Amino acid sequence: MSENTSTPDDPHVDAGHETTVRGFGVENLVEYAMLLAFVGITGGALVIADRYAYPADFFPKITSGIGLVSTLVILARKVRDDWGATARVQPVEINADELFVLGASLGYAVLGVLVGLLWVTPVFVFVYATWRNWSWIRSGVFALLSVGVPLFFTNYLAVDLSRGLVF
Amino acid sequence: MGVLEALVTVFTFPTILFLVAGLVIGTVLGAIPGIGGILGMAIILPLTSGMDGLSAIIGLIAIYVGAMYGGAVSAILFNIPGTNAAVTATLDGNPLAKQGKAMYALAISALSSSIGGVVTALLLLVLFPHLVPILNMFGTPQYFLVAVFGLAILPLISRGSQVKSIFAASIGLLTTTIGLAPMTLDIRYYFGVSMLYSGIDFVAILIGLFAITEMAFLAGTERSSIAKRGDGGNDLTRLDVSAVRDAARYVVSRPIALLKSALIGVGIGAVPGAGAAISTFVSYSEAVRSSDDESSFGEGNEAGLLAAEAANNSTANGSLIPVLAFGIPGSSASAIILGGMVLHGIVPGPVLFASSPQLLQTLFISMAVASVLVGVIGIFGITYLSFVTRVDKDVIVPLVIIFSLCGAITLNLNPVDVLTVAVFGVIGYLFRKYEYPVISLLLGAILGQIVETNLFRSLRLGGVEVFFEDWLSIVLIVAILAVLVAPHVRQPTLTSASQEV
Repeated sequence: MSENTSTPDDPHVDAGHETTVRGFGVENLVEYAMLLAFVGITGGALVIADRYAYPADFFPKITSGIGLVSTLVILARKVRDDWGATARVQPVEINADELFVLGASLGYAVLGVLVGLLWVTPVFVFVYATWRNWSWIRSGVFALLSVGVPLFFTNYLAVDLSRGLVF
Repeated sequence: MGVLEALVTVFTFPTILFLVAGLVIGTVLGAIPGIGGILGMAIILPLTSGMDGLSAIIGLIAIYVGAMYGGAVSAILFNIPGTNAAVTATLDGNPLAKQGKAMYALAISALSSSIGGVVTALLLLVLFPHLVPILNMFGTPQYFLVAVFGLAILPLISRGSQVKSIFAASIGLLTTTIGLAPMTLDIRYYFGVSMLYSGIDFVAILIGLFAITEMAFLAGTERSSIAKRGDGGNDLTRLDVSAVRDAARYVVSRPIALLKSALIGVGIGAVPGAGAAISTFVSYSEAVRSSDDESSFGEGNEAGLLAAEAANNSTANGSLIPVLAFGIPGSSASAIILGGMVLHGIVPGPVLFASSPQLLQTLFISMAVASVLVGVIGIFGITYLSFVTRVDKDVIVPLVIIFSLCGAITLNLNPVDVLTVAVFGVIGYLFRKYEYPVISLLLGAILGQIVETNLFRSLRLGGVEVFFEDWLSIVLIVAILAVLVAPHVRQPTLTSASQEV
């Protein structure tokens, strides 16, 4: 949906830090980091799979092996495209709001698992609303109202969201 | 008799309530850009755990059907498709709205969607008993090969490189190796964490891939809501009966176009990994090709809108074929319906066709009824639907995230599901950002256990030779090889419209 179809020749493309096309711009680094992470994950899975007896080891070896090889191929192609003489890489923008939502969601999930989603929900909503420049009062009211969602789950589906792994 | 009983079941309380509620919810969510039916289904799926299985599935199908129409509302009014499937509706729908014919365009959309959906649902109802003997030919080896075919076809229809699709699918498959191995008692990749014994639930993965990822992208858009785009000066505060009547006359006067679009929709919808984004594009292209006035398309030609809208609900129906027959989803939305079936202990596959024809009849009839009602809701709800497009995204984003994470815990009462949603939200975001096919990842996560279980059952039956012992296996192997080789023979022309998720 949020595709960026610009090319390096596109006059609307900012050549600055937002849309670095070639080499190690921040946005490009994120993809390198993702691929390297998957090299680690698939490589680690392949090594660990060797500890399992047949037939439990077969499928993990196949999938992690294919995953590792395909990741390395993508990585090699990316290096070639980024640094080759005829490199034409589509710029990718990463928006601060998008990153904030992802980070806040991760934090919400981790804290929710640790101390209970019921308590973390209003905190998450308050932080999000203030990030979006809502007034303190409006953010507070929205945060209080948001508690209704975990309470709904607790009452309707009998799932206790007030407890986490820690307390 | 069976059909009558199924009809009675659909109209029995509370089933009919869930069907109507699902339609309204789907239509409203589909009308809000950034939400859409898939996300709505993903959020609501955990909430169905307190319902009986049939009502839950019917409710989810109704959301899907409703969202298919709802997605066209913002596409027609504001040139912003509420769903990917509605992209084609913008081409002629929005020009009509700009000409002051928004009500007329919305009515064509509602009626085309409705008729297309009814025709294909009834077609499935008639045809499905004949599928039983065919499905009975599928044993364990063939079931394995069908699942492999579902994975092999992904690079052909998903956008981007073949190797990216293979990579994404392998990551999805790898997630299914966590926890208890299906054929042995080995517990794999649990790292001493007992909560990982049962593995990772693919429903949590799909909630993360759709809900969290979609909210990140919505938060990054500049608009606060789409209302600021204006609606072409149309008065949508009251129902324009004459516009609806004209639309009805137009739609019913083109039965061939309707039937052709519906069949394109159901056919493409049945292909694993394909979806309404492709079918509406193909249907629209066919309408242009068969028209004597090609130049008027894109300028407000009703035939283009009719073709796109008749195909979308038919695609929803068609995508249920591989789900019900093999447990292989034809689209992201049908993957969620599969999740609902699994959640409620309904096991898809040939056995379901043979043992539960009543359930299938009820599902097909509910699809037909939903398609009829979406026309009614679509027409009489027009005056309200333009309002829902004005919802502030800063309210939507946190609420959807809360529903997603709180809903995840209800899947298995396992905190791992909450973390899975968040982690796969990030992975889905990165995949979408860098154009890795999310559908490949999701189908890998869905098909992994099917592939592994049936592979080992087959090997125990008779070694590798078991895959070459009958003509059906040979046909499937040839089909797999064909779809693997096809991208290297000729570049497919539909790839630009194929990003369903």
